[in-house]
Amino acid sequence: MRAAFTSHWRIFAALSGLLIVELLASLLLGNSAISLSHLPSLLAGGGEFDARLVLFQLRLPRAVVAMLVGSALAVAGTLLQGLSGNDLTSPATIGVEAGSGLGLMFLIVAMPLSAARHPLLAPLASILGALAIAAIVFSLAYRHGSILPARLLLVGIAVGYAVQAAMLLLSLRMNYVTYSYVLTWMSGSLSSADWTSAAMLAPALAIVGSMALSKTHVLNVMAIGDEAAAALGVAVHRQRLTMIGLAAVLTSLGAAVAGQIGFIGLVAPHLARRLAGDDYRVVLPLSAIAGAALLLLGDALGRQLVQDVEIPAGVFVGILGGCYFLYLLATTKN
Amino acid sequence: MELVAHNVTLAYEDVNVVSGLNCVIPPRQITTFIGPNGSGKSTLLRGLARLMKPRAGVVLLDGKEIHRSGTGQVARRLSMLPQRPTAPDGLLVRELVALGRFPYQGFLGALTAEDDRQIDLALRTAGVEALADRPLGELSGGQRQLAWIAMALAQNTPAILLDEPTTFLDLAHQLEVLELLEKLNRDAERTIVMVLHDVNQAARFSHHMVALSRGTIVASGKPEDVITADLMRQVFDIEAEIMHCAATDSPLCVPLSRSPE
Ligand SMILES: Nc1ncnc2c1ncn2[C@@H]1O[C@H](COP(=O)(O)OP(=O)(O)OP(=O)(O)O)[C@@H](O)[C@H]1O
Ligand SMILES: [Mg+2]
Repeated sequence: MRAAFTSHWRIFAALSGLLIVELLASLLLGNSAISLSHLPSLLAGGGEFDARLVLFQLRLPRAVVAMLVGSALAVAGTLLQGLSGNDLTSPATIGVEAGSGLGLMFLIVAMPLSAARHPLLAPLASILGALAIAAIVFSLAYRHGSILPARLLLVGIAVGYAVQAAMLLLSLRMNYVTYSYVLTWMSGSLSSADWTSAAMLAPALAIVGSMALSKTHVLNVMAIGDEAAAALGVAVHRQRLTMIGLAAVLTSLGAAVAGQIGFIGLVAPHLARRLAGDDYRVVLPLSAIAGAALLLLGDALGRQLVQDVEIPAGVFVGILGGCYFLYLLATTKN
Repeated sequence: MELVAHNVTLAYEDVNVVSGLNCVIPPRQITTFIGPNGSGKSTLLRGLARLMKPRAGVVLLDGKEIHRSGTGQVARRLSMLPQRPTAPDGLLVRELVALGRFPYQGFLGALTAEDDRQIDLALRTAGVEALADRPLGELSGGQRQLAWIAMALAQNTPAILLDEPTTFLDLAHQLEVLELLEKLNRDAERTIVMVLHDVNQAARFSHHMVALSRGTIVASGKPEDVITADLMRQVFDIEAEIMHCAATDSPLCVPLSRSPE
């Protein structure tokens, strides 16, 4: 464990390299392509006005948001999988993501769409919704001074379905334009990403992310079971509660900006663990990079693959993740 | 190192498993709990190790209420090996043992030179040095048990609590574990508290024995005072002949039959 980072530096370097290539591609490619040789001068503030506008106001903020959201969801998923000892846990399974959608729906029902799409109002409603549902899930899962992971998942899935039903009910009252906005949100899209959302995400992610990183050693100890961990001095239930809280905040931040894209929180930690083993001090940062790379790729594919139509990033994240799991199924024995 | 249970009631949900129990663990001795399945041995051990909060009564560690002391503070005085511990299959033996240093570590668990020294010592003492770089998933049940014991040793506590440390082990390995505990007690003055199912091994290796039945202590004291035909009938519902083994100078119980209803 001591040589954790040094022995995994190749994997970190490879994934980071992939991320940089993806970043370049998503900055250069698009309806009006920018050539690589122009990039330095554009970044330095020179070049054509139109190209600068596309780069700085559209592609760069979008790519930055994609990476931030991807890593937030990946870190949330890593925490949840670690604290529940279950590889199939994800931000979607604790009901928080659905709660985020519900908050957004209430906002849209309460005021006209043009007002509701305010760059700060929508995220705020989404975060409040997520935290409200998280509070409901926690209190239902809380028994005898502790939250049992299995109970949390059951309650989370049940509440998640109830919330989805409520969202469907609310959507019945919507007109076509509003509904298609909601639909885009539900399929996970970065089309509304701008510098405002990046400025909201970056500091929040820095703070919550480093708190998550500080929990990785405890996650390592919790992997040997509640009883053995408690005997080593880990306050298991308190730690679990804190980590669920961190994961809920990260999930709602991501969902506020990019909608239902929690699948990343299932795939990225899986991939990181497969590449680097069980040490969460390595897995968590690696999973953050993998999540960023995955969402950036999903978004780039969604923008480029079909001419003139933008496919929500969530669709391609789903396809990529699905392929990864199929590959796992095909290659693992038993 | 003094560990005392005073009027302790331990319960799961709303079923009291142990009620109003009093028990003193003699310092620097080997104490063994015996009793039938479900009699509350593991529960009592959990209560003594701060893993279960008593519904009533207190557990005192060196005169201080254990549930009011910091978790880390208790973990530096007391280690506990659960009955059926689990770990990720990919975890290396050395990594498992390193987790034993958790109560002494700070942020992100960087290992100090002292940590490394204690880990090496624990590996050597438990005789699993050669397995240090093997993943747990590839070990036999007995080797795995020794690795877990090494983890408890790395915690370097004056008291070690073990729940059935000899299950899964063949006779030679059972003796290996028990002799190791005896040596730790003799040379390093560790207080050992354990649960064993083998009454004869308990009698042979313990200074003090506690017999439990349905959550209450039926007898406690020196092995020769606890292991009697009456007690075997009362606690285990069996008829037994008790002899004296000259080789080990301890009582020997030969079970004959189940007691008539
Ligand atoms: N986690 C738990 N939740 C609910 N009840 C429990 C739990 N653990 C033990 N019990 C109950 O408490 C009683 C005492 O169990 P305990 O594990 O202390 O027995 P034991 O003496 O260690 O038995 P064994 O020799 O089989 O290990 C049993 O009736 C058992 O069913
Ligand atoms: Mg037991």
